[in-house]
Amino acid sequence: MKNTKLIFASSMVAFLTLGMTACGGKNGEDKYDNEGRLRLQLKNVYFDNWEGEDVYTEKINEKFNVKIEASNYSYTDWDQEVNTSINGNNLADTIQFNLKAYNFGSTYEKWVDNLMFKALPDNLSKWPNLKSMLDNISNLDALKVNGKLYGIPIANDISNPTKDFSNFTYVYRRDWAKAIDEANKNTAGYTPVYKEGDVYTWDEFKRLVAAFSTNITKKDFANTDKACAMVDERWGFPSVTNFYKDAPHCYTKDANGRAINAFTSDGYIAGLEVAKEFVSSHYYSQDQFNFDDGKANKEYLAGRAAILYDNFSLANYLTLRKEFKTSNKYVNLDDGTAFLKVKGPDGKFALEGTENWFSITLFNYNISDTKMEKILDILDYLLSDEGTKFAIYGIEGYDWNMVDGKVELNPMSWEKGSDGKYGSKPNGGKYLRYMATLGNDTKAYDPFTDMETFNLHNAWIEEMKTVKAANQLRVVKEPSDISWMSTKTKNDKTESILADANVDAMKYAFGQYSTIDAYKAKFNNTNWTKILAEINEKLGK
Amino acid sequence: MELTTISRRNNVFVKFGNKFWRSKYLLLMILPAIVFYIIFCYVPMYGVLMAFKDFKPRLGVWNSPWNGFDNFVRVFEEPKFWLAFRNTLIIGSVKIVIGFLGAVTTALLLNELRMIKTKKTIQTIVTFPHFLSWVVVSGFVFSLFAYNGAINSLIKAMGGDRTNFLANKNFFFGLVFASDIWKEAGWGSIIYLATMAGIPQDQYEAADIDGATRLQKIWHITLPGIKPTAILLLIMSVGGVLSAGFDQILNLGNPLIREDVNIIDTYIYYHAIVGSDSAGVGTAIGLFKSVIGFALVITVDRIAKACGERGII
Amino acid sequence: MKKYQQLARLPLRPRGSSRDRKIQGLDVIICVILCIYALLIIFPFWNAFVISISTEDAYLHSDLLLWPTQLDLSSYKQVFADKNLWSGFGITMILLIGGTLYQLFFTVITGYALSRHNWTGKNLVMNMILVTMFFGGGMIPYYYLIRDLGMMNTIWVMIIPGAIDTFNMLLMRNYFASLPVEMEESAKIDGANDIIIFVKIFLPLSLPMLATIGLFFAVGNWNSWYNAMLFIPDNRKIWPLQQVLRTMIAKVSSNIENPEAREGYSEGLTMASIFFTIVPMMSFYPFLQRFFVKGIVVGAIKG
Repeated sequence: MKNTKLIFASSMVAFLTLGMTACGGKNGEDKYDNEGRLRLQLKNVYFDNWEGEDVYTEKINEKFNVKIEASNYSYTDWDQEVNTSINGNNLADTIQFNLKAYNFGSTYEKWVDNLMFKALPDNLSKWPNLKSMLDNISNLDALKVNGKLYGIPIANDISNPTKDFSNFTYVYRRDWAKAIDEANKNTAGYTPVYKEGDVYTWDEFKRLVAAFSTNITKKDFANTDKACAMVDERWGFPSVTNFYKDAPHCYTKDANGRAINAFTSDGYIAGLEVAKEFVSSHYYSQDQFNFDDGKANKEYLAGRAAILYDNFSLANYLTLRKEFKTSNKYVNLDDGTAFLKVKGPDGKFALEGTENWFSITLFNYNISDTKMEKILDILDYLLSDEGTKFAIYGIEGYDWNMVDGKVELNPMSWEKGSDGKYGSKPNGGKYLRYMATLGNDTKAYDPFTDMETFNLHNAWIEEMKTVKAANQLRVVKEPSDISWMSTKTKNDKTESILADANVDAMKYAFGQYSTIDAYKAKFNNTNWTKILAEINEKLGK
Repeated sequence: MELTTISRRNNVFVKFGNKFWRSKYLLLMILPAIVFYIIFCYVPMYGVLMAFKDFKPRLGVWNSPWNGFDNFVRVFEEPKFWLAFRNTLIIGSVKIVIGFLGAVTTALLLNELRMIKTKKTIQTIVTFPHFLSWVVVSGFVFSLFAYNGAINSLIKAMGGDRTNFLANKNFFFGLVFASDIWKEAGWGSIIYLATMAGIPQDQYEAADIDGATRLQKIWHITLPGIKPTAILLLIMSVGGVLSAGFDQILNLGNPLIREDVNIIDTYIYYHAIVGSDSAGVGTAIGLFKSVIGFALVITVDRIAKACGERGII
Repeated sequence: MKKYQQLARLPLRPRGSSRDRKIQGLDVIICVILCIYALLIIFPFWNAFVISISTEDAYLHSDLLLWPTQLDLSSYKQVFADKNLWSGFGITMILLIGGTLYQLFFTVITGYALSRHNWTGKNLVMNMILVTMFFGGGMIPYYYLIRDLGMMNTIWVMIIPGAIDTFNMLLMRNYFASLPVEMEESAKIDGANDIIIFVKIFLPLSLPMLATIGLFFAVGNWNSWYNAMLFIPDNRKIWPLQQVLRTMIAKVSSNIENPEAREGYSEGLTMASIFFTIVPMMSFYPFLQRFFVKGIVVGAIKG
C-alpha cells in the first residue's frame, strides 16, 4: 500500500517535470537531410508560393549539394510576420525585410545592434558576379552599419543603374480623351483636351481631369455612377501633391539647410489644397481612403476610372496590360494603358526618387560561415551568364539549346498558351535569383516578356531620363543625409508619425479638418519636435 | 483495513495522505489540466518581466537588461494611448448597454410571439450571425456601407446624397455598435428567453384573473422575473469592458480613422506588433490592461456580493 | 438510477402568456417587427450572395442588386479551382474531428474532477485556473514557448494548446455540480470508483451538454486561423481553410516590384470565398441549433 502511494506520487512528479521539459534548438544551425545535403531555409516575400519543389530547384540542390527549403511571407502581413519572427527569435537562414528609408533606423539598424543578423564578408571577391551587382548599386554605403553590410539589397534594375526615379506615375484612358474631343468637335470655341504625345501642362491636366469627371458616368464611358476620373493606389494618395512637394516622406530641408517637417512645408500644403479641391469636385473616388492595395488597379481595369496612379514597374505594367486586354476586349490596348506625362505648375515633370533596391535579404546571425558561403555561391552562380540563362530558360539541352549563338527554346518542354506564346513555368532558379535582383535586368531578352509592353515601358523610362538630363524632371526625394541618419527618437517614431501624417493628409483632402491650421496642429507634438531637434543637432544646424 | 489504519495512526499527515489516496482517480483526471495550465499559462507568465526590460529578442526575456518603468513612461506619455483607453471605455460600456437592451427586447418579442413555427424560424435566423467570424461580418459591412455600397445606392435611389460612412469617426462608432447588435442580440436573447420560460405559470394565470393586459403582464411579471439574470449577466460583462472587441475593430477599421478608433488591444497590435514600438512597451500596456481589468472584476464582484447578488468569483 | 436521469432531463417548457389562443392586434405587430428584424439579418447575406453570382458588369451598372440580372458562377469556379483551398479543407476537417474530440475529452474530465467536492487541493487547482482567466504572459513569451516545445510549423500547434477551454470547462463543471449527488453516493456504496461513476452515471446524463460544448469547439476549429498565421508561417501545406481563404482574399498587392505578386480579384471573388466558409455552417445550423441553445441555457442558469 505504502509503495503504491509512493509510486503514484513520484509518477505524478515525473509526469509534471516531463511535461515541463522544453526541447529547444537553436535556429540557423547546420542541419543535413538524410542524403547528407546541407539544409538551407530561405524565407522570401511571396514569390508565387514557391516552396522549392520544382526540378530546377532540385538541379541547384544537386549542383551545390544542398537542400533548399523555401517559404514565403505574405505581402500583406510581411512586416508583421518579420516582426514576429524577430521578436520570437525564430529566423530562417535568410529572411527578406521591407527596407525603406523610414524603417532603416527603427528596425534594420536596431536589429543589427541586437545581433540578429550576420554581416556579409568584407571581401566579396570570391563572388565576382554578386560583387559587381552590389558595386552597381548607388548609395550602398547608406545601408552599412559600422562599415559592414548586413544583407544583400535586392536590386531593382542593375542594367539601369543611373535611373534614380521611381515608376510611380499615371496611366490613362487615351481613348476616352479622344472620344470627348470627338463628341465636342462641333461645339464652337471648344479646345480639345487630348494632347498628342500624352504630355500635359498643369492646366491642361486639370482640364483633362475635369472633362473625364463630367463624362465618365455617361453611356459611352464607364456608364456607372460608381466611376470617377482619378484613382490612386492607397499608398500614393494624394498623388497630385507630387507636383508641389519636396520630399516624399517626413523630412525635408528649408533654405538654410535645416531639417523641417515635409508635411507642413509650403509646397506640400499647396499640393494638399489641390488634392482637397480634387476630392471635393469628386475627381477622386470617395472610397479612396478605404482602398486595399490593388483596389485602385481593379477600378481602372473595370473601366471605373480614367486615370490610375500606381507603381508601374515593368512587371506591374506588364500585368496591367495583360489584364486590361482581357477585361477591355474592345479597347485599343495602347490607348487604354497610355502613360500620362504631366508637367507640374513649375513646368517640370515630377517623380518620386528611389534607391536602386526594393528590399533586403538578411542572414540569420546563427548560421555558420559554410552555410552563408553556400548561399552566396548559389546567388553568384545565378547572377553569372550561365546561371541567368538557367533562371530564365531552364536546363540546357532539355528546355533550350544553343543554335547559332542564340538560345532556342525546345518546344517539347514548354506549353503554349491561348495566345500562341510559350508560358513560363515555376523555376526555382528564377526565384532564388530574386533574392539578389528582381529580374528587371533580364526582361529585355526574356522570351516570356511581352516585347511591345517592354518597349513602351522602356520608351517612357528613356523619355524621363532625357527630360531629367534637360533638367525638366523634379525628382522628389528626401535628402539622403537625413534619410539614412539614425537618431533615437527618429528610429523609434518615424514609422508611426509617417503613418499618422499620411492619414492626416488624407483627412484634410477629404475635408475632415475645417482649416489648414487644424491640419498643421496635428504635427505640433513632442515626437516631431524631438526628432527635428535631433536631426538638426546632427546636421550641425 | 482502512478503518484500522486510521485509528492506529491518528495523525494529520496520515489523514491527509489517506484523503489524497481516496481521491486518486479524481486526481488522475485533474492531472492533465494541471500540466496543461502550468505549461501553457504559467510558464509564459514570466513574460510580464518584459514590461520592465529593454527587450532584445536574441537575449530572450531573462537576459535582456532591466530598464525599470521606462516602458510605462513611454506609453503614458503618448496621447494616442489615452485616446485608445478612452475609446475602449466608451465602446466597451456602450456595447454592454445596447447589447443588454437588444437581447432583452428580442427575448420579449420572441416570448410574446405565439406562432410557434414562426418563432422557431425567426430564432434560428437571428441567432446564426453569432457563429460568423468578424472577417465575414466586416465583409458584409463593407458591401453594404461603402461609398458605392448597397445602402448608399438605396439612399441615392431615394434622392439623397451618398455619404462616406466608413470615413467618419462618429458613423464608424455607429457601425461598430450596429454590427455588434446584428451579430449578438439574437444570441444574447436565448438566455433571457429561457429565464422567462422559468417564470412560474401561475403568476400569469393570477394576472389573467385580475384582468391584466399583456403589456401589464410584461411589465409586472416578465421583466421582474428576468431581473436577477439580467443583473448577473451585466455584472459579468463589466469585467470584460476593457476587451471592447479586438477582432471587430481590427476588421472594420480603415487607415483613415484607425488611430481615432483604436482600442487598447488594437493599439498594442498596431504599435507594438506591426509597428515600431518594442515588445516591452506592448507588454507594459498589456500588463496595465490586465491590472485594471482585474481590479474591475474584483470591485464589481464585491459590489454584487454587497447587494446580495451571487458573486462571480 | 433512471429516476434521477429523468429528474435531470426536466424539459424547459415554453411559458409566458401563451394560454390565450386568440390572435390579437399586438401579435400581428410583434410578428411584423420580428419579421423585419429577421429580414435585416438576412439582407447582408443576400446582398453578398447576389454580388457573388453576378457578373462584374452587372455589379457595376446597377444601383442596388436585389436580384442577379446576369448569372455568373465564375467567382465560385475560381474559388473551387484552388488546390490550396482543398488542402486547407482537409486540414480543417482534421481539426474539426480530431481537435474537437481532443478538446472535449480534456475539458470534460477536468470539469468533472472540479465538480466533485471531496478531494485534496481542489481549491488550489481551482484558483490556479481562475487566475489564468485574468492574467497571461502575452504573445511574445507564448511564442517562445511554442517554439521551445518544437511545435512551430506543425499541425499540433493548432490542437494541443487548445486542450482546455476554461470557460467551457467551467460550464461543464457547473453542469456536473448541478446533477443530484445521491446517485454518486449510492454508486459509491456499491463500490464503484470515481472513473466508473463518471463514465457510467454522469456521462450518459450529460450527453446534450457534451454535444453543445463539442459543437462550440467545432465552430471554433472551423473558424480558426490566428494560430496558423502566427505559428505556421513556413508550412502552407498544413494551413487550415480560413487561413488559406484569408490569404486568397488578401493576396493582392501593388507597391511592390515583385513580378509574381499580383493575382485576380473582384468583389465577387471575395463574396464567393466568404460563402465557401459559411455555407457548411449555414446548412448544419438549423438542425444543431437546439444543442447550442440548450447548452448555453443550462450552463448559464445553473452557473
